[in-house]
Amino acid sequence: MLRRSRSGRASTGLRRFCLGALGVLLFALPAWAGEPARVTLRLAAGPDGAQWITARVTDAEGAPVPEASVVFKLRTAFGWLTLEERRTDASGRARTRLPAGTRATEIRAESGDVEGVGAILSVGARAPESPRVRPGRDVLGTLSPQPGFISPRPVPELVALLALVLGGIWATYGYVAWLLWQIRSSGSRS
Amino acid sequence: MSTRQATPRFSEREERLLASLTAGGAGTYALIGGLLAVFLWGLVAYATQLRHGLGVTGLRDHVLWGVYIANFVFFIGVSHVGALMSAILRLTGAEWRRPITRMAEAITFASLLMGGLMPLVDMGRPDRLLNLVRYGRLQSPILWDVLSITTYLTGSTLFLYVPMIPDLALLRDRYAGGPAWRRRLYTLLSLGWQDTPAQRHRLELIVRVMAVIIIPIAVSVHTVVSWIFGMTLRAGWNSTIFGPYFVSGALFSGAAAVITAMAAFRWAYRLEDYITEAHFRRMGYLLIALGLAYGYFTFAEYLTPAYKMATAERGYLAAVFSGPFARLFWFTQLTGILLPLLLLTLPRIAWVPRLHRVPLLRPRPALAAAATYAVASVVLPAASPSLTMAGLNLNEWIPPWVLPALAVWLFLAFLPVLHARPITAAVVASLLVNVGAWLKRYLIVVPTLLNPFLPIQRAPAGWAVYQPTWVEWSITAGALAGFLLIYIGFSKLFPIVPIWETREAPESREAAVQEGIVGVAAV
Repeated sequence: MLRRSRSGRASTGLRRFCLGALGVLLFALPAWAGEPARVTLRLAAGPDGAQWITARVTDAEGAPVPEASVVFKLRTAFGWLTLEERRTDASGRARTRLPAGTRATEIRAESGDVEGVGAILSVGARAPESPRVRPGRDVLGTLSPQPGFISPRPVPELVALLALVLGGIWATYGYVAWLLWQIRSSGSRS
Repeated sequence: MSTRQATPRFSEREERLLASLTAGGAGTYALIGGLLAVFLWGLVAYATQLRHGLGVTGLRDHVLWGVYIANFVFFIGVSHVGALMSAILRLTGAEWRRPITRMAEAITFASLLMGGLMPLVDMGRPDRLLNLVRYGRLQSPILWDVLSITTYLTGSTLFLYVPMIPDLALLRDRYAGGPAWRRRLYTLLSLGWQDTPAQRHRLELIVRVMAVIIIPIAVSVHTVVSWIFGMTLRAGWNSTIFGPYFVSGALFSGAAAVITAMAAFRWAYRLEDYITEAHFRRMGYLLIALGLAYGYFTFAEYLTPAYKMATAERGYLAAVFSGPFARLFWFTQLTGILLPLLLLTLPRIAWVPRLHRVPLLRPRPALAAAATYAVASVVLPAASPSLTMAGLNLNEWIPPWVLPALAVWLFLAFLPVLHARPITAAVVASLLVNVGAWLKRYLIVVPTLLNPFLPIQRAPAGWAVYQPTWVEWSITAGALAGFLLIYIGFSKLFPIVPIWETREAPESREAAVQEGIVGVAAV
């Protein structure tokens, strides 16, 4: 009884040890599977016309590194602007969408800790995609509380105001020209 | 021959007022020749710019407006006062205006022509001007500016031309000398004027209508010019006060230009009986009032952002107050606003002549001290660099308070002189105002562009500063010469002092002298 209970306790301890070791193994699997050694970047247009940046993280042997942290950055006039932080999938890929209208010359992806690896993609100064539908007052109304004068199309009220003011002035000039004609006519008669 | 004999002659008074058409000595032709040479040199510089592009100027990606736009704002500002002042004085019935209104209106015409050209010069590709019409946005202040300047040029030309019709008829009937084309021109422009009651009624109606309508147009023109800056989100520009600030500055510099023109014509054609000291006194009052308003607006314009020193504006304000533009800024404020106001006001004080009794406050000691300072601080270091290299830099030995003290001394020493010569005081003040006005326009345009919200980076070092090149200076000098040529050309072709308007003087001699329409000798 005593022997059985001792062996039972031993097997329980062994089972706990094995379970613990398995847990540690599972937890450490990504790191054990491979450290990020190389990042490659690719820029491609999505079906909706948006630009997608894809980073592929591989280890020293060229195998994809899953669950690796990837930070996407964009060079702006202020310096590097962090776009988004993502984790790689099983194929070692992580991707993010470039904000519409971005005029970036360089995109950077970093993976790993402080001494991690990264890659820079020079994309050149691309002209922003022209919007497929020109924004009207409904769109601009959500962007600015007073969209009237900055609207891409002349605001009817503004056109009417300008026409009224300028038309009034030029009509007065016309009246003056008519009076001058009258002066000339009466001079030639006399 | 018989027609020639039948041509009536000008009266003595008319001959004196038409002196600018008939008189012309070697000095006049030398002046016109010199101005023509400068203007042609400006054209050569512009041809260089057209051929090689804006790269021959100091303009780059960041400072894309420089001297040319400063010239534009300056000329439009000077143009402001002519029609506006003339219209206001006509409507308020100020009789003393009569001899000087046409001078003011001609300034408007000449400066608008040159000012309107400046944005074209600023364009690297003037052949793309048509794009402004094809693709111009009605929402943009730049298009408003084109519309308002065109409207103002038309209106001010009419306002200049219509009151001139009776004088043109006089020239048509009595101007016997000169080439035939001049008589044809006078015949064409006088519109068959016979001075009938119907014609006179219509002419007076036109003048009244134009005087009313030209005031809002003139105000709107410079307000719209200010909106080109004010509507832009840039440090130093994005200000609600820019409209009235520009209008007051324009009136200030324009009134100063009128005073300078009055003095020049008075001196050149001996018009002392018609452009009297009373005119300078009244224009001086106007300049003082406008200068005070302009000074107040300047104070208000800078105090609001300077109080906050917000991040975006700190760099701009530091550059202007204590940085690379500080000397120019403080010089402009002192000599462009404060000194002219002092010159126009202090010499009028009754005890000023008594300053002559103090031996040290006479011009000679003050001039001697100023000359000594100039030799010690400028001439000697420049003439003998070895002194400076040996560590004997005299500038380091002279305390900084010496220069302002000398300036005050000189000013006090010359106060009695200016008291005795009020016209000289007014002219000196006016010239200072105009120089200060141009410098202020430069200070409005350039420092803001050099201090954008996003700091200048990843650009060649030379692009972060602006230094106008010989091309820009030459074109600027050419534009000024062009303005003066148009103005002098106008005065050689048309009477610069209205003849029929000055003839309609108040009934009594006392009233005429009091109103300043004519001098004592002319009545």
